[in-house]
Amino acid sequence: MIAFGPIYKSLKKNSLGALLIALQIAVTLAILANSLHIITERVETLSAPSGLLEDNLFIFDISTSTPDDAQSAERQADLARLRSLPGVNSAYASNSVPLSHGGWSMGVQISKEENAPNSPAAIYFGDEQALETLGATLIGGRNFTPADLTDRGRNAVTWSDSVLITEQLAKRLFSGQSAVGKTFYIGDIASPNTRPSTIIGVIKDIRTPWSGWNQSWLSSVVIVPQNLLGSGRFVVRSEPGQIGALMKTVQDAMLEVNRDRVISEPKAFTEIRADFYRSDAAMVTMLVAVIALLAVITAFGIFGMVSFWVTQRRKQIGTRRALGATQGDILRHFLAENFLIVSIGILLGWALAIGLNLWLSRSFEMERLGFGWIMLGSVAVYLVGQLATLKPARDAATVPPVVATRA
Amino acid sequence: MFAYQLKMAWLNFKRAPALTALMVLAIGLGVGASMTSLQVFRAMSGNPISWKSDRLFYVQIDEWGPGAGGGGQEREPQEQVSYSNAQMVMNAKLGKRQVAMYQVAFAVKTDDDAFKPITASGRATYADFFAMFDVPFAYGAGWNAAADEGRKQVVVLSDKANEKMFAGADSVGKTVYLDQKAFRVIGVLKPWRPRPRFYDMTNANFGDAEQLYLPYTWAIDNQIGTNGNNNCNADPGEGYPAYLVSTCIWQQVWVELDSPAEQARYLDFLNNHSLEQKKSGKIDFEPNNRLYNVEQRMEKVGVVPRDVKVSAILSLGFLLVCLINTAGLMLAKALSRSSEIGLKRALGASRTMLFRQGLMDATLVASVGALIGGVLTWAGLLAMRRLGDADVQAVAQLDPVALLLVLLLALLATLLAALYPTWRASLIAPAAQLKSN
Repeated sequence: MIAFGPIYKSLKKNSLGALLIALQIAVTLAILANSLHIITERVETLSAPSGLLEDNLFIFDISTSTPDDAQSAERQADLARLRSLPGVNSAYASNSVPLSHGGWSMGVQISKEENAPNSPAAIYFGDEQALETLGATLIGGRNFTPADLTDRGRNAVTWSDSVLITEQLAKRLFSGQSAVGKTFYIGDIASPNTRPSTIIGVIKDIRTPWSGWNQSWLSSVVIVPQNLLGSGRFVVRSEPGQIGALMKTVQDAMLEVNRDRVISEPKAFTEIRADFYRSDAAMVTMLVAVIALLAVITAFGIFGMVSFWVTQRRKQIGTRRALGATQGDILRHFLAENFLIVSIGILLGWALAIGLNLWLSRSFEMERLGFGWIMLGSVAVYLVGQLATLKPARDAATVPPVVATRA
Repeated sequence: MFAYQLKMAWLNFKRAPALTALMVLAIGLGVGASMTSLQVFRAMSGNPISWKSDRLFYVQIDEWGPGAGGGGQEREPQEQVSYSNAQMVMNAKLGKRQVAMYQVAFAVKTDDDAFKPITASGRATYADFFAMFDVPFAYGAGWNAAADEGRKQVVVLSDKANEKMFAGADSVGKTVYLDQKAFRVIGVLKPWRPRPRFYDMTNANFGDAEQLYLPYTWAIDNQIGTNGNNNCNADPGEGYPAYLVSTCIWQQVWVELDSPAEQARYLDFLNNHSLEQKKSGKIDFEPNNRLYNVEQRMEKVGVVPRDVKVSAILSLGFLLVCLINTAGLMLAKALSRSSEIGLKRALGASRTMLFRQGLMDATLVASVGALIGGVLTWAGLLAMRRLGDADVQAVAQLDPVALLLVLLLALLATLLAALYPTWRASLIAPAAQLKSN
């Protein structure tokens, strides 16, 4: 049985210290609940699939100043050289890849009528090896063949006759019907240059290059079978385990085709992904550190305060022991006292946590805090409080009754 | 008296080493965590050209109209301008200075065969750029208006580019090849990294400034496109000449205006131009143009990322927890010395004296805590540079002003936390304490 009388009296006597602990608990809980909430949000973002087989995949860029009329031949030579390198599984030339931030976006629309179903989409150029290189899966229709491929000059405005699109884009445009064989328009529908492109295949979703895009077109992608001439990005899948060696030698190998060019440092897709999510990952690390430190600081704060109370109340403890209180009674007294203080803090903390979340979600368009995190945070704070009290409370329990008789 | 109080503070410090260490550590951690994120916040929200930012105006011209989205005058015009509107501003020459510019990239070589060619980012701009944005030169100077007119093949290098290509030597007069075309170096910049990169916040907020600068007029004549952001609301048609007369927006335009009157006059000029375009049927909507100075522009762009703001708020909360914690421990420590304080009072020490001694104790704790906080801030920024994205990496650096701020804040905050416990301790009555024990 816990004796509430002594708890009430001792709290009244040490009201300020108790109040400070309760306050500390409240702010701790507010930060804890909101941090847990943000961490889960970020972990969800971090683990979102790109739609690619990310291992053994890398890219590099070639900046060339070869005259326009020689660029097509140079591209063919580059691709032939690249595909002949030992360790290369497949490769193609493009403008961008998922999660790389930079890219090309166009509006697409299924007819030239106003208000016809439309969507923004990311454009990736590619050829018959694009799907295999990316590790993307065809779920309807057919892949490109070399016959689909055409050259695209620097300032060209016409789009290819055939394209591949992602499932998400197909659903947005044709709501449930099969998209294979249908046509749509890429770009300005008012322009006479804009001709229909036929969807020859649909692939499982792959991501657009950007982070800021709306969820409903985050994987809205068109793969266009055109060789975008001039400087470009090469996407390479290596045979398993050979990516390291290949990334070391590929620059020199490509320079052999034409020395007058700049070949960028190759970058593994795993690194592209890490860069893309760097700020989310950093946020998670920071918040985990903050939570850990909060727990430590709060635990030590409670520990220090209770230790002080025990020293201060040695005489009262001795008296209670002399009057028949057991060691267990004393132990329970301090644990219960802490429970009470923490409870007050938690009540205050709920209000603070919700207030902080309201402010954050209003100012920064964040999701609202679920009640689960507040509850989980409360349980964690109770645990920290009880654990931090255990040692000084045990010390208190060992105070001998004889202390009461000493002056 | 000061020396004596300090000595007493040190003795008090030593008498409860665990408790004191706990306080010091709590302050250090709180200050370290909050200052790390505040430092990043400060660096990102800073005004990199504060001395003239209210005289530099970013020109935004509505070229596309409300479109399907609708909206009236409160709708923001597009972020960048088309080539034809950029030229309209450059030809009018109504500002004290004006630049139109865009981001480019070149494969760069030098005459040195040992130099492995690189891809360099560049800015095609006008002569006024350097004077307008107070760009500092280490060697040589920028080009002049005549070079703009003459489409001269001259280039200004950044300190980093000069380091890479010419090992940091005075390279004025040397030749560099941009996409195989020979350019004469006429100037080399001192380190210049405005954060944010206010003059072009469409393409990168906190990236490094470009590696080289060349005349815009040459770039246009040679059909150089941008490697930065380009947006078209309609099909521009085939080829570069068609692109130049299109409504594709890809350039940034700034004007320098000395007074609010000039600013008003300039906005009138822009609106009149739009009105004329409406009359001639080129556009079918009311003029909707803006002149934003550097600070307004930064605010519109929202340069400080959400995560940085949220981290700053949460870490300030963390500091609050640390301070409450310290206040509690100080109270405990002060009260545990009741009998000693009572004895001192009985021996004639005044309340003021005891209060001062208490503050001295707190100052010592705060100072050591602040020192630890400073070291932790440095470590925290180091961690941010490893963990953060490119924007954060660029700004996560400790500057002396910020360090001083850290120390001061730690001191102030701790003293504030110590105020009540110290006052409370000085209230202890002499008699009561002498009776017991």
